[in-house]
Amino acid sequence: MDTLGKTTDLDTSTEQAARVAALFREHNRALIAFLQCRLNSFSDAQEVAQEAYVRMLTLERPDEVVSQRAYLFRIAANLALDRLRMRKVRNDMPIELPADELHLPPIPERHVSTGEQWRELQKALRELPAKTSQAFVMHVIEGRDFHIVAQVMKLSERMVRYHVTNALAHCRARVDEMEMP
Amino acid sequence: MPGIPDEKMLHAAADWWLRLRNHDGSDDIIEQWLTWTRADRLHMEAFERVTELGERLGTIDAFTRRQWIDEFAPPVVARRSWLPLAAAAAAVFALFGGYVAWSTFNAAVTTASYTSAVAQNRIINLPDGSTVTMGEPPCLPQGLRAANAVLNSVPVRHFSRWRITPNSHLS
Repeated sequence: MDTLGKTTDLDTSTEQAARVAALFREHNRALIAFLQCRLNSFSDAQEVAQEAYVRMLTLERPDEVVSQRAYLFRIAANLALDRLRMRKVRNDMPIELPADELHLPPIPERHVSTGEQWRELQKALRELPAKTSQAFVMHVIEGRDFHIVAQVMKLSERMVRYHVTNALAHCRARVDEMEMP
Repeated sequence: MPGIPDEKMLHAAADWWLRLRNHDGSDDIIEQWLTWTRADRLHMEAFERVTELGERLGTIDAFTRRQWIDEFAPPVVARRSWLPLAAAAAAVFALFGGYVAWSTFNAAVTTASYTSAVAQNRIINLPDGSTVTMGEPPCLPQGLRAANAVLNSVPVRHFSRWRITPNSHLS
């Protein structure tokens, strides 16, 4: 009886491993993109995705899960939320770096290329209507919520979202032109 | 450009980027997004490009950030109406002026009434050392200062005669 139970458990975990492998093949790219969007960091997205797969593999009753894909994304979304909270706590209490680390010289090539990139993006923002670039800077750069931007700009949240979307698409198109001539 | 998402597609991707960032955890949004990504090979490509730009913008240095905010979203200074401020200033000015006038008047003028009987001589000594003699012929010395204008406050009947002797240091 005991052996039969162990065999059943083994079958279940093998089946679940196969399901998770299939999920990885089909949805890993989307999962990483989703997490990168939530976390604003590709490396954090990869770590969280890995943790989500581990959670899927160690589910106690995988057969009870109706949609494995929906469950995977839900686990990933919750893990991302946890990470954002941890990040906020860390940012609120910054660790003081030793004085030596603060005086490291910048890498010249990198400094030049990022400076050039910001200038190009600034130019792209100047091409937009004033309200569009304002909404974009307030939401994406300053990190203000839509409702606050809407209050300041005396617009509806829907309009603010529209302006931010336009600016993002325009900036991305300009970056593409710059990087892929 | 073939294989590169156009601006319209980037616009749709940017819209999804914003929706997922402000995602409340509902499965429906994710399902709709996954459906969109599978509708066209370039949809996911466009989304990844927007996401990559979002990440890049998250690393903007403090100097550039300040520059962009100053240029595109300068802080709005609340415009105050000048009328309440002017009214407040006028009220303060009026109160101050009133206080100064009141204290000056109080310090400079002391009034007192003296009466003498008909044909009676009476000498009144003032606090500053001057004397007023009632019933004497009037004689107003040269150099009489304002302090001595107390004379004005002394009721003198038209048939009375009076003389003022100012304090020596006032003349």
